[in-house]
Amino acid sequence: MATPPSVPFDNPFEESSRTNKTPEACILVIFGATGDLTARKLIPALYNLAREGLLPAHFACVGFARREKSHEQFRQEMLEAVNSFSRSKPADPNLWKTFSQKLFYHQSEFHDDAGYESLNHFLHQLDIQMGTKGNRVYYLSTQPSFFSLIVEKLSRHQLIYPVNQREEKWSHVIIEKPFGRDLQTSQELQQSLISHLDESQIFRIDHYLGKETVQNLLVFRFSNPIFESIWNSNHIDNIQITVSEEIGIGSRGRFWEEAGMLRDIVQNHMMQLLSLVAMEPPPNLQADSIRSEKVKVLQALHPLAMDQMDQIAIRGQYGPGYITGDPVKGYRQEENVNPESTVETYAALKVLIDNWRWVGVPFYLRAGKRLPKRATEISIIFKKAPGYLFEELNSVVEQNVMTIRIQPDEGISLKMNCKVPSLNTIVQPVKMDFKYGSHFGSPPPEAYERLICDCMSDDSTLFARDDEVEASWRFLTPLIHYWESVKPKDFPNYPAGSWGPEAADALLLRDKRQWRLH
Amino acid sequence: MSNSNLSQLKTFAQSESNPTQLKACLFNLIVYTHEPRRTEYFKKVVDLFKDQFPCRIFFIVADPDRSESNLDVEVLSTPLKSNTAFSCDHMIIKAAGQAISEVPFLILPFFVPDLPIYLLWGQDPTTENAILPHLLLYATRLIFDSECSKNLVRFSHEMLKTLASTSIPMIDMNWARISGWREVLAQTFDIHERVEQLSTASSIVIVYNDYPNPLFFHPETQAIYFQSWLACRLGWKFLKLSKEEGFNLFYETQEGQVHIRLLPEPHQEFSSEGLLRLEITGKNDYHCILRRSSDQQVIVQASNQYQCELPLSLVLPSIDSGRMFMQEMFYQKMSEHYSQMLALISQIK
Repeated sequence: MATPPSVPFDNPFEESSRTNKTPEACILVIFGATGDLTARKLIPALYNLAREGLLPAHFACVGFARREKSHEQFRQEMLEAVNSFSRSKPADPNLWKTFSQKLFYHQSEFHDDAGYESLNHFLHQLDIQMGTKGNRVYYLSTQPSFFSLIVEKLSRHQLIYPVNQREEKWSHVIIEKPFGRDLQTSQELQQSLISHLDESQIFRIDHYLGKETVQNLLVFRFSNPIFESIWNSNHIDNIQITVSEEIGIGSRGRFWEEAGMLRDIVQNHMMQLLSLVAMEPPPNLQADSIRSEKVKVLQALHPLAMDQMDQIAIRGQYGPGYITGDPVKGYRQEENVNPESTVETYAALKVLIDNWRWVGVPFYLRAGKRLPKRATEISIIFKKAPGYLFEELNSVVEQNVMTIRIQPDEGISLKMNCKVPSLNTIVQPVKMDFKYGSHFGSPPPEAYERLICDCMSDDSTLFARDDEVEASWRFLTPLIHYWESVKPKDFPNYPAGSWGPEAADALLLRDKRQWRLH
Repeated sequence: MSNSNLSQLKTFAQSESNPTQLKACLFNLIVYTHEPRRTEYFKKVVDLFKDQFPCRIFFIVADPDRSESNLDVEVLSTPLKSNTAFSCDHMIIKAAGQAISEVPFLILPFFVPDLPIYLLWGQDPTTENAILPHLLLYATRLIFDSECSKNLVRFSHEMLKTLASTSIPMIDMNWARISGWREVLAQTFDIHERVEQLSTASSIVIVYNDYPNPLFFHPETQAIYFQSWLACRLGWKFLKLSKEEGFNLFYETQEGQVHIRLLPEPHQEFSSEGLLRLEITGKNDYHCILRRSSDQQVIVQASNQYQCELPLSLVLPSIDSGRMFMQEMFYQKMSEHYSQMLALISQIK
């Protein structure tokens, strides 16, 4: 039965300013569906969207992978995945019964043309059966080396459509980071994608942008003028962004040997956090307005000077140590890691932004594996008050610090100074604290729920644009190449369970500062 | 007020500054009722949402028919189910006779400053009440429940007047209760052709659950709301109402007339008063059924003389766990659709 073509119209039953956006009918095809991401994140996200009534009524999901599997086997595996990894579990039997009927599996190799032909045929049948109108989302949950191949095959077999057919049917492609290994490879990847797709059809996922706490950065900054008025070099001394993990590289040795911390975390997650903290208010909440402001920050980053690289960029690699009392091995002892590897598991940078708002304010970024605790946070350290008032009382007046905790213990705290109740005037720092957990009882949606829903709704606000990606690679590529060409002599240079190499502390000490978490 | 009540309030006031207790509070919520059967119902509602939206609750149970004056206060601090490290405050005030007029002054010092004050008025807001105007002075949002109104037409009239004269957002719980079905309808009739088929319907049967429940008294209200909303959205003009074997409403459509019939059916397994089924019949043998298959699912089947669509299943967000209901109650702006629906109901004689 033919499904009526979709014509944009004003649904009389929706109130645009009030109703949750429900995505349009579509089929989501996940390439690499037997991988970890699908089981841990993607299918649980879809299930939770269904549970909240946010999945389109006409929807199907097709897993595309090499292994032989029936639809039923795939559905059973995904049920186990939901029961293990979903934020709401176990799966509701009634809901699962209906939801699982929307899951299908298609076996093929990524390079096999016959596989794409049969996929096309299968998807057309699903359009008729499920009413999905020909709309497609292709999620490339694969090694980056397959991106170009898959997109080329999709194009060749007319599985992706020209953007001028948008009114009739649309197709989007979601790719996961890393988007290339450096500036050149990212540009090559972009060229390869653009030869088959319009930029508006490409959705580059950085799952950090799907986190509630990261989205809150915009709301926090731009709905609270009290903070926006002091969010500049007149009042801020420095900003520190930390992405700390206590876990090691686990079973990702092979991947990590090719990637390293700069590529895995700094180029994407940290640059996103930096741009959200430093951006100007956008003129409106349209996707491109927000993304354009972020790009301006990245384009204003002061280039890393080659003759100062060792002073402003610190790298490290963890050696054996202790995490929460348990001994752990060093990076070079991990599986699939070269025993003489010089890949970094820690990176710290001092970054400057050349614009009126941030001139003279250093941004200290650090990311590391096997640090003492898991913490992703942004600390805004304000300038000291003129100290003359309380100096004579031998009181130390500390700098105000606002900390935005991205994960865990999500929330925002403000450190300020108060008088200790006593007959003397003693100044004591105290903290005002807002915690997500105490204010909003039920767990928030997972990042992938938001991101998949947005892609299906054609909202690219939370996805990286090509110029964003290029700007961050342009900034970091000289450092990447420098580190590749000049091998470190002191690896490993920090024990697991410590806050990283001493040189990272020296990075701030030189500026008479110190890391907030140390 | 007795000495023990006074000391409870003092303890409550002191606990504000207790550094060892972690309080969770997004807003202040005043709940008012003066019927015992409504009290149980609102206790259930409060339990439902306070874990998702922790708040400081002032639960006022009044007894205006008692001649002797009495005021009784109990103060509790209840931990959140999701995280027992945090708790929210619960003040239960029972007032009778003249003491009812003291209540607004009693609760005034205990509002958490800077946070919104929501008033959940559990009685018919169109009837005279001494305390409502005082509580309205504090409120930043008014939530009422048309369930408590005996005369829906009169209620609609009065509400429209109040909506026109007040600037604070006003939310009707019955409107929030049908948000799931409104969403289901929007998803079912999501293209022009389907809306066309619906707008030229000649007959619609809406079946609602009238399984006896001591907490619900007007099982037809949600059905009346739903069909009025549907009629408004499709631009139908109300013609007449008759009450033979259920409610029968007639509207003028672009194609002629549509007969909407509201039928009760008792179903213990579904939530009380909820809609159970919509059966739509139109030209070219168009037939569409939206049938509730479980508390959280609706099955849609549609066909006409040329084609028969495969059944489709849609999620009906549960009121018990649903964010949609809560968001409608506490966060959504006033709905244009709601006021248009009220305007239509107010025409029904």
